[in-house]
Amino acid sequence: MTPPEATGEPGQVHLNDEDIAYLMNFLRNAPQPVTTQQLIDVLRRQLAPTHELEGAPEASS
Amino acid sequence: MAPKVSGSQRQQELASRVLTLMLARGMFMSLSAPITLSMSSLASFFESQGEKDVRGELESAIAANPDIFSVTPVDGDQLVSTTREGRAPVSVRPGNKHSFASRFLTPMPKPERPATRPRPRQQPAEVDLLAEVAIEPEALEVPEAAVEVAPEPEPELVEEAVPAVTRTIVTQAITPTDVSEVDNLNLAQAIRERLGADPRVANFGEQWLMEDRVPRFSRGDLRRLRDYMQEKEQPLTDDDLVQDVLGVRMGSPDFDLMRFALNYRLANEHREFEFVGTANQRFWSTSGLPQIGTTRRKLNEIGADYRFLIDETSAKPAHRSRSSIDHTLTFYEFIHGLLPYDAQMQELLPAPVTPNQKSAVLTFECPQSFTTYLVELRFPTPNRGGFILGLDDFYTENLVPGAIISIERTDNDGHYRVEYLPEAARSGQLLELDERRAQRYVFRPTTYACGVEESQLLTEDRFGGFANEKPLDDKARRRPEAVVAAVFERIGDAREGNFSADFETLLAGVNVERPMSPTLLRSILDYDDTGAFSRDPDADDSYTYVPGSTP
Repeated sequence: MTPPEATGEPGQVHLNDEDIAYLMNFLRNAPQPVTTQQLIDVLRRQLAPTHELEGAPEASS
Repeated sequence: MAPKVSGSQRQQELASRVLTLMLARGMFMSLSAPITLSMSSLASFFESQGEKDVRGELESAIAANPDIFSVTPVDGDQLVSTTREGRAPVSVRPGNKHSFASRFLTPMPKPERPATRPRPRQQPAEVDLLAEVAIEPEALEVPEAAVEVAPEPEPELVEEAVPAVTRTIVTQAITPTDVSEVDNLNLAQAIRERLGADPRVANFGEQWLMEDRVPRFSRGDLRRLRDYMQEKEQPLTDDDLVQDVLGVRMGSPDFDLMRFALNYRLANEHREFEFVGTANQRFWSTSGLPQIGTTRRKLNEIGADYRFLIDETSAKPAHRSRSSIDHTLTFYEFIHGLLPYDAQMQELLPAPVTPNQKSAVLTFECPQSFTTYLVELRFPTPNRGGFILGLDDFYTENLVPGAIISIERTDNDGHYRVEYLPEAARSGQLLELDERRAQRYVFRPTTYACGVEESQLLTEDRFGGFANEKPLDDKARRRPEAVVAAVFERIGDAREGNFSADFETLLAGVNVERPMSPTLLRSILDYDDTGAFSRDPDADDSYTYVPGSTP
């Protein structure tokens, strides 16, 4: 996971090739047009498993 | 020729008699066909001829001549067979080795084809990315002995001499961007920047799809779409076009896909189709459609009249941030059916959907008259202001100059609700433009039933100076200062050769000739370099004009 790439204005983000590949894969499997909001949700979901793993408590040994 | 029988004399005699008997029986049979008699019937025959206990002798006589007779035991008796040739019958089985049936039942195995030679593949050009990387000399060193022994270089020797070099390219792993702290607006912008530039992805408005999945339209389809719009004589929405022309019912599984395809494909047909819609109400137009709104004045001229709005509006307006606006109708707006695309209006209406979009067709619904008007929003250009046109009928049927209207947005960014204040009917002598002969301003009795802003109502008692005046020529109209001066002279209070008028009256008066915002008028009056205009110290918010020093 990389922090958002710095751009000219605060709050702006630049998507890297991994993000675009993930979106393209989603689009390839979409039989109907998808909205920009759906793509945003897909991007946010991309990191969800990682966040869950990071937030999960460590197993006691 | 009779076959020769063998055995004892008695056996030969019996055998000859049996053979004669059997040949007589089978005299019409074919030469090789078996002639068969049972041993018991032969014995019975000979006994009937006076022989006694002859069966044993018959069996021995037949057994002594196996070349002539064959014996087959059947159910306790014996069948004796011979042929007309005098030879024991030979059972000949019909050959079925090559019969038609057998060939069907036991087909021959497929002939073995020689293994196909692999088709040569085009080899990609080898690009040695690490050609410039220094490799240790030992790794590439060719044994000197091999080179010396073979003066002429042989390929085998070279191949053996060069050792294989293993190269490992380590690439840096790319990980997804953490977008948890980025808001939706910036994410949407980033998506548009990256995917919008990718030719594999089709995009229209806020919808995306892989380009190769977007259905394509034939030239015939495009012609039918254009013809249908021309037949209806107005821009049509994508919903209407998909249903009426392409024949896809709303609610069917393909409807969304076809609607996206229509928008995406028509957007690429710049010469024949023009997008004139909004995100929620996607209108399409084509050449040859009648103009929406006034034909009194050219659209370019109206845009030039509204040029001052470019300086009064923000470069990045907050579109759709306002839920409603109130507006007082001017005379110029009334006779042309217009509304200014000023800062307030920009905050009410949506931004252009496509880059370089010139106009957007909107629907204005008036619930008081149960009428929906098709209006056109002309977006500003670098040297012309924006405006809305197409409200002529709404104005003339319900309103007068000076009326207050309210425009309210709906959930659909292309549909708006426009209302006026219903009031008891009033009558008055109001300004009109008489177009029957040469254009002149006249006052006519008018009855209206809408709420008005009294200061902007063009009554004869306040604006009587306009009576029988001709509209200013275009040269004067293009200069706001000249229009203000003319209005002073028409409606101002004359005092010692000067003219005085209050600001609100001046505002209503100048907007008879051309559109002018309060900001622009105030600027002209307050900051005029020529000194023609000055504040009137004797009256509240009034100005004085000195003729002869007109800018």
